[in-house]
Amino acid sequence: MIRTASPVAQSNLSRTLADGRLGVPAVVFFVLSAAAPLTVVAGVIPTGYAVTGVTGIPLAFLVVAVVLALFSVGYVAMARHVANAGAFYAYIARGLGRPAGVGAAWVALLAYNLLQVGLYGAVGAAATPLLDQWLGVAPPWWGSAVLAWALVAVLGVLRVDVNGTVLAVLLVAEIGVVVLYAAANLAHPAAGAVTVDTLAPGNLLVPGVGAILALAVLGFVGFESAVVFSEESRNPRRTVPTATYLSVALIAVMYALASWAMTVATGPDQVVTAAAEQGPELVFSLAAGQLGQAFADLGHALFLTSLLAAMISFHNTTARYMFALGREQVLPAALGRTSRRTGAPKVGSLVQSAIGLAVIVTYAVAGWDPLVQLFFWCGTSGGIGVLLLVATTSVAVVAFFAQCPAGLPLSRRLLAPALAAGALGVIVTLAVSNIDTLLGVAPDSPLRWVVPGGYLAAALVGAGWGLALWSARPEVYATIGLGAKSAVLRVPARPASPVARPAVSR
Amino acid sequence: MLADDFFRIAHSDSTGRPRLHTRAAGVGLGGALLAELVLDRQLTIEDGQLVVVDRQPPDDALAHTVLEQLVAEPHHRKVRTWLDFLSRTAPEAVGDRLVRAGHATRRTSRWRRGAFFVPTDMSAAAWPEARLRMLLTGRGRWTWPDVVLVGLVSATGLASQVLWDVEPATRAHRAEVLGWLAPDLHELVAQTEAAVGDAVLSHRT
Repeated sequence: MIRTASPVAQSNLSRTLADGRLGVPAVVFFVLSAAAPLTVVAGVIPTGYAVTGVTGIPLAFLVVAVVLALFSVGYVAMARHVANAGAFYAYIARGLGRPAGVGAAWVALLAYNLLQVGLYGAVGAAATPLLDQWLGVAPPWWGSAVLAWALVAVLGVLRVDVNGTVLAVLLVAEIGVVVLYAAANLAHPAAGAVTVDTLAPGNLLVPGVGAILALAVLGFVGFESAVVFSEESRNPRRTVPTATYLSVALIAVMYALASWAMTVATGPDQVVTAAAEQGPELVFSLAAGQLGQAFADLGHALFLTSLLAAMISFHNTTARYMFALGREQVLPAALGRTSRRTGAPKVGSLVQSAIGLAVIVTYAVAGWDPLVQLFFWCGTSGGIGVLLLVATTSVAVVAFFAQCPAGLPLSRRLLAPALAAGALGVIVTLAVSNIDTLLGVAPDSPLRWVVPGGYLAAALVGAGWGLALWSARPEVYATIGLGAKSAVLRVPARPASPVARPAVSR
Repeated sequence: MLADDFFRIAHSDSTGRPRLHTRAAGVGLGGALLAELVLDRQLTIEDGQLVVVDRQPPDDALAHTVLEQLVAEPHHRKVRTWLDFLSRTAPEAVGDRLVRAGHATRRTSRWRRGAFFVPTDMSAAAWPEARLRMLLTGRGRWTWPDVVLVGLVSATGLASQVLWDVEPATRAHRAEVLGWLAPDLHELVAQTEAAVGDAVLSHRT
């Protein structure tokens, strides 16, 4: 056997470090498990049809995929220059200044919290009928939600991202069910023949288009996390970009197919009515009719595990956000503490659990609807928050490479990011102006102002906090956006006089 | 030895079971091995890069091995790279050093990967932690290895083990003690803290 004799290839250190590094499949698996396919296909899509009444959802997934792929070009290129690469606020701090970064961090905390707590509504609504069927007990939705909450709270502190193998098996099963259901839907078209009516571009030229574009963004949340593994991947220059593009493409194809197939099975003109009547059950009742009750039951069980996986994933993402901000001391430093035995970001995790319980109790006491008012409203509002972050990050990418071209071709550092920023700007404008359609409320409902107003307030208060740090604690201000690496930059507070230094033997 | 002391604080004095998650323990031990060479003035750190200043073979076999590795791979200089590398080998290497000195016996378990090390003398194994508590509460005389040890214990999240019931004044004293560290050792401690934190952020704890 001939060996290449380059010194790097023979390096003991390089060889050891290469051991256990992640390849493209491992990173894609991680991203998709956070995306939780069945949660989107059974939970988000039917509720989306019902609430918005717009049938262009399959197309919206494809359009958003193209824009996010374009965005990812600059995003993965900039990731190599960002210390805390998994977090949008770090890019914004780097490209648009640290006060903007803190504002973005506040927005991100709000958005990820909304995504996380919204899932408690879905799991409550989905688990109760299953518990009735399996065990003969039918707790109220909040009873099931509190059970799920307790599970997530415990796993969050134990830092079990749920065993990787379990997660992989569940994910593959979920994708299998999504594809199988879609194939069955296409084999049983309502009108007797498969129609492509919902794929006509005209479906996007309707008044509520901003709503379904925002909804589609919600389906992609998690695509940004592949960059977390830059330092852990076999080849940072190839693994992470490939995994990001592949994840976006897989999510787009899967969701566009599933949402289109649904309209074929119900008939394009009936999907909104059917979704409004049945909610998440639509997917399973279609499957029961086409494939038999056993397949519907399997789907039900996987819907539940999918929701749990999504909850655990968002819980950990949010706790890590708080951890990074705690380490930077932008938030109280206690949030930067971890569990000694497990390395879980303990304090962040507990805060996150407290917020979740408070929301469940509030909804239970007020008697609000878990599916539309908790899951869909919080989920889509969170999706809008992520959309705002992606759009701001795209501007930050352009600004960053304008200051520091870093030897990249013009297409990657300017053209693609600028195109993405323009397209995302249009989507944000449409989404914010169609927020009443997205939430399914009257055009004059105060809710349409609450969501963008909340994000605006978070951004402004955050930016104000950033400026306050600049004047009061410059050493903290200097490390904004560095995440765990902020420790290296922080200058120690040396004792005032060396005389105070006791005699220490070396 | 500094790394021996860190190892003993990071493991139970009776059973040898870990008190700290694997990644943090590995990085902390890697940092401790590098710190031993810095304290012996064979190595220094400038702007995140390791610089070997004295190639004379150290007396200790493990320190010798680490220094040889550093010398053999001159194109890798980043502290962070070496912390990542040593974090994988340091736990077994330091455990074996304790075995050679008669402080521990090596055991393997069919349930867990790798070896673990049961202390032969519980009070000797508990001493480093007790000593740090005494020093931090104002009793005893500081040595430089102990100052670095406080830094590494804090950086890896082990401080909650050592300082679980102390007065706020002790925590303030800890901050003051860490301020004594020379820039190279301070940087080593900070890089250790960053490596542990990044492991949390990339789900690798």
